[in-house]
Amino acid sequence: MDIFRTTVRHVNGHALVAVAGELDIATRPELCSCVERVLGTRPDTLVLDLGGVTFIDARGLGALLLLRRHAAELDTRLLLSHVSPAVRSVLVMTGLSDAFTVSAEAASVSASVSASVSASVSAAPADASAGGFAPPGLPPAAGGHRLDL
Amino acid sequence: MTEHTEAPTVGMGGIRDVVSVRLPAVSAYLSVLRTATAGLAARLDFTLDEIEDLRIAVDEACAMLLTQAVPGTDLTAEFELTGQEMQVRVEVSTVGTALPKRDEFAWMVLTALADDVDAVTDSPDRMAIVLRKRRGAARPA
Repeated sequence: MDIFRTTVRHVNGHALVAVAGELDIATRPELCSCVERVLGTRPDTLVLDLGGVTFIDARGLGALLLLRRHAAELDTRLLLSHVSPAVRSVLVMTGLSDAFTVSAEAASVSASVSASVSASVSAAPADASAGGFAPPGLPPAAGGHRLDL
Repeated sequence: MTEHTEAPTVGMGGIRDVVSVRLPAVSAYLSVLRTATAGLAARLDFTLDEIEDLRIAVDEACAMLLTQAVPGTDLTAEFELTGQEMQVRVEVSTVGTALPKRDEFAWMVLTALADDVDAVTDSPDRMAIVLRKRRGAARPA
């Protein structure tokens, strides 16, 4: 069993919430309260990095939908990054593969947030460009695109 | 959590194994049941994809039941392993019974992953979901 955890970073009006562990009926409240707190800071963009999510079920997916709606009400763009095969297949099963936006921009926001954090922590900006959240596979195209399934 | 195997031999050559797991009907224990599910499916030589399907299916069935369960009671899961198939019956105590909503995401996922699913609501104070998955069966479209 993986410990569920969320890690929040902010930079330049963007927020990154990295989610790790199993997202189910038990851990969903923790995700929701974390993301609602971040939405309260009114970021322009909120990137949910799902790279560490090892399990997701319908309740977890329901939480993502709820958060997307709350974000829209606050004029925050909610984007997903690092959508794993596990998450992807549940999105497909529920017909929700078009409901979320995964964008290259999300990757670059993730990277810049991660870069700024590692720069401030390690004072080694030369290494910061290799931000740990940048996925290798995403094209450098600007703007969002639908989840390619 | 208690776990016992009622027949000691793995279900090879038509031998029938039944494994019962009883745990508190609270969501925090679902991850434990998912792990047990995966372990049992592996004994039947299910593929990794099939094991993952079963893990999610059992999770969805239990999550639906937990919303109806009487607080302080247990959830029981009975796994029946035959050579090619696993049948899982998950059950909780309820006050009255409500059929699962078929338009819920949980039901969609459950029926997509299991080969067949039945909701059993013939008792006024118990509710069960029975699902079956065969080894090597194509995932229903």
